[in-house]
Amino acid sequence: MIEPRAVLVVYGLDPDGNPRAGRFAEPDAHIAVIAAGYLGYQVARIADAEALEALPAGNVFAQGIGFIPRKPGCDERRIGFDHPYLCAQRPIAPLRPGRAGHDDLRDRSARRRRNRPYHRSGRRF
Amino acid sequence: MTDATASVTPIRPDLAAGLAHAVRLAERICRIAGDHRLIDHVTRDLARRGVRAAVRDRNIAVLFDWLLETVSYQGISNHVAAGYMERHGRLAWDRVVPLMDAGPSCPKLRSYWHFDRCGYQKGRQICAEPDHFSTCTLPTHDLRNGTLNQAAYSLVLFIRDVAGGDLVGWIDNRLCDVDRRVSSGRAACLRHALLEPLRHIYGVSDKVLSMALANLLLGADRRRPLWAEAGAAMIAVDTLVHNFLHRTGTLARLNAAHPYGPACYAPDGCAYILERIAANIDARRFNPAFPAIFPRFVQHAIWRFCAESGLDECNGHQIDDRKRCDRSHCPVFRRCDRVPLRPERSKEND
Repeated sequence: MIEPRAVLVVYGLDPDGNPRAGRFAEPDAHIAVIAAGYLGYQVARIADAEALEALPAGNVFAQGIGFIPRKPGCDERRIGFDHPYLCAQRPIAPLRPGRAGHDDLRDRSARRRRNRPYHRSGRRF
Repeated sequence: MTDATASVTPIRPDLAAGLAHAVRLAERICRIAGDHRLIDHVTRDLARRGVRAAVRDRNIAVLFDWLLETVSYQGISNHVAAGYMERHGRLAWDRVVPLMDAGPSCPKLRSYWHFDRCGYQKGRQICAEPDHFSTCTLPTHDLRNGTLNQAAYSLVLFIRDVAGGDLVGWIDNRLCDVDRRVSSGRAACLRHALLEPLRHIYGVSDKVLSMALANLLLGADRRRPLWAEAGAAMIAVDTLVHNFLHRTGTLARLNAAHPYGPACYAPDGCAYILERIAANIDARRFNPAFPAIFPRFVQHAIWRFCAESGLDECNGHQIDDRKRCDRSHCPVFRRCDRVPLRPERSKEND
């Protein structure tokens, strides 16, 4: 039996304390991980079709609360922290193998920004 | 009809006659006003501005400066926008980046995703984070309006956080992903792959984005075939193009009447209609080097036909929009439905 492919889910509380969650398909998943790190959200990969159905699609290019909108009419308990599938999952692996997990993504992003040249001519951001 | 019609969603049978009429009209416009050397002209302009070299070298500073200048022409006449930039200067990448690097205190400037509802208003000198206003660098740039300040910072954050500092690589990746996944309807998917993310940059309209991307993708690098394919599919709908489609009766015949604005890019809007028209015009007849399906060429021809700086035929200066157009010397007078844009209400209705 072929196991369904795990989908990236970003979840957490927004600044107003509302639970939010959204799923992200490839190829935007890696940017969603970066965004989650900046915004302080958790990330997980889940493969359960029923659980994914309850989650709205996120928009990795939207700012603020548009990144993972609350789905109108959706049961908040199913998309919040207490979702069994989200709780059962370990936070997903880091952006690159061998590096730290999501907890320090924000710090790592800041470090990367400081240290990385932004184009080949060596100009720094 | 060209081969590419197969890749475009077929139009409803009851609207086929309307589409055929629109195609005949657009073909005539392309003959009269089409820039048969459009790609050459765009290429030359980009080379003069250093954008071709910037794409080759992935020099984000030049690309940002060019993009922001293009955005600055939004919402006002080119003459006024250019005049303001001449008098007050332009905002350059090299000026913004050190300010962002210094770690701004405003929480909205932490990342691209934090930059939401900044609310800066130049005239009133207010924003959504008044505690940080006095130390914020965003209002310190003397741009034509506060929206442009926000657009500039939003673009910087997009390039830094979403594109990883490499806009050229990001475009390559987005287009390659479509190339791998999509076989039919490629043009629309390629266009969507770039427009959808970039339209979230604050204060940047679909029209300006389409115009800038069309030029960049068509003229920046001929060794990138996906860029050329996506650039050919970019359609910039401004009031001139929308009003042309209204006045000629194209919108009415295709049952697609709508006001100018975001609806022009919605399903059944102006962009959709132009894409379908272009799918029925083989642009290689105008220049063998053109792609067979070239929506940008068709849209540009319509714009040139209308614009004061072009043929100056179909615009509000030439036509009294309260009544049916009576310019019998117009080259498409006989083929045009001459629908008034803002018809006078009859006295009974008053």
